[in-house]
Amino acid sequence: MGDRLLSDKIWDKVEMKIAISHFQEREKQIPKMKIMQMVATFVVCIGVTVGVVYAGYTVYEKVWKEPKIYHEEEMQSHLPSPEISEEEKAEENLITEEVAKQKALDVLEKLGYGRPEIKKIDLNRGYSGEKENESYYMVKTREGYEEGLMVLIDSKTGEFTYFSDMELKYKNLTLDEISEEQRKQIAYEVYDTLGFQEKEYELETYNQKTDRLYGCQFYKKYHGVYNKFQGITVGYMVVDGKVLYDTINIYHSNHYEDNEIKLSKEEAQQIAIEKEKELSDKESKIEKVELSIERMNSVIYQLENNMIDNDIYVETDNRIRNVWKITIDHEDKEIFRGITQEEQVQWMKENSKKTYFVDGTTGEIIGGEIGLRVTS
Amino acid sequence: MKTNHLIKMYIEKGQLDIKKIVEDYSGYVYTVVKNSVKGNLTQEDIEEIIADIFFVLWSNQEKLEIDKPLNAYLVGISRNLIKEKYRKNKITVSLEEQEGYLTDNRDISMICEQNEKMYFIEKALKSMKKIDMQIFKRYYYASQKVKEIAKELNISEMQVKTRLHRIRNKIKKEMKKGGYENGR
Repeated sequence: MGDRLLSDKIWDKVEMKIAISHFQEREKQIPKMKIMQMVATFVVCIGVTVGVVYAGYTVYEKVWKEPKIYHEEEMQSHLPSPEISEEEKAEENLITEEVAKQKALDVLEKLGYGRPEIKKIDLNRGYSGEKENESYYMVKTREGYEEGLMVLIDSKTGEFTYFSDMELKYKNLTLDEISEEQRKQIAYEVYDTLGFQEKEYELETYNQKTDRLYGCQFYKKYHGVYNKFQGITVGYMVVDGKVLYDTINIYHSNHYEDNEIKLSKEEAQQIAIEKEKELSDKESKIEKVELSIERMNSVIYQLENNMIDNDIYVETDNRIRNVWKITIDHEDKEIFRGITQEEQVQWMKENSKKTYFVDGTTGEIIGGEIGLRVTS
Repeated sequence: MKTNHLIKMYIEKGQLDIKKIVEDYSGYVYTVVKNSVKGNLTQEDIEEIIADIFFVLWSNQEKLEIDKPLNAYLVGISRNLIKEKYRKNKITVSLEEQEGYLTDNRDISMICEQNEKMYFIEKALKSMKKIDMQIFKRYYYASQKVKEIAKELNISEMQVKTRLHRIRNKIKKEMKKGGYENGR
């Protein structure tokens, strides 16, 4: 057997063994981390039914509806087919493959890669977040899954939504150290390179750094609040004075409603405190109150209704609203000593820190968060 | 075929570059193992042992003396793993001395239990679809986030989560069959 063939075969096995080793380590942490893991699951998506009409002189239509609940076995039939049929293409009036390819090349040219040969174009079902189940074109300069440059183009609007240099992480490159001022400058240069209008997005952060990448983020701003659902995030390296892009994400949300903020901070606070009293007898303290832009979710609905189960998926409407975000915690927390899922749920209701999204117009609680955000 | 590099040449940002080691040393280790077993093991067993050798090296990277030559460790580990394989397969053969090897201090029984658990997990994974294997490797080997996996495999985040959940359940079932309590 040739050396290359052998080493590839062996590497495949070694990679799997290392993956299994990591899996085993993570599984060992589960009993201690169970609360945090459950928190992570809930922070993804959920919602509450509190049919509140704003206590003023105007009645607003409720925004919250009873969410749809799917059990795991129902999920697969609920999810649309990954293939996009010809009928669907025609119905949805999608852009053609050739148009998508040219748009991707325009992006690559702007980023300094010229107009390379495109080796792969696929029309795929949506990839994440609010664009789930919608379609996009994936345009690549190489065929392998972790090879080449990749650009995603929205198949309806033709907008550029994502770029990745799939091979950058495998190159042993040493980052240049750059100053805070240089990072800010680069952030603005990237923004100009991408061709956005002046002041369309505002620079929110430019000082992010990991051991591999620098990062910056731009968002649109409404009522003094950054909308994280309409933004640009960039991860990049600087090597020998040159900026190399790792990933660029552009979030074009169609679901932000920019609803009128009719509720005062004090009114929102009161609504959150009343809800917390339904879940916990412990004395509450308000930790934070702020205006925010949040997606409707069903965290507290699930908590209230004891639907804490990894085999259940709870789906709310896809709506992004102006809310008052109120965080409530308790001084006299108990240490969790339970074992069963029911005991964990009860503990969470009574002790966990919760954040409520109180709709800025209707006063309904349209979502929330529990405890600390843990990314999966 | 590289055979005499020091370990420190494969240290990158404090971590052992195991992929590079596999690329450079697979041929060498294959020769060592094949010569040692002299037809007593199948090709499949030999390849499995080779993969285990690199895995043991990776698992014990913090114990390695980086100024020592890599091949010495590889030969030492191979000796122990071949011995253990013979024991499992009930093969009685005397191993020839390997010139210049260092003794691997790792507790052999720990390797065995680890390998046994791995066996059940690998068994569970082998019967899975290719996409599930990809998701498993990306999540647990490459530590990719659900969002990244979803984007790069062109599926929804919910599908990634559903599949990961199923993979975990399947592994736990296989581990329970193997007598590991609570699937661990």
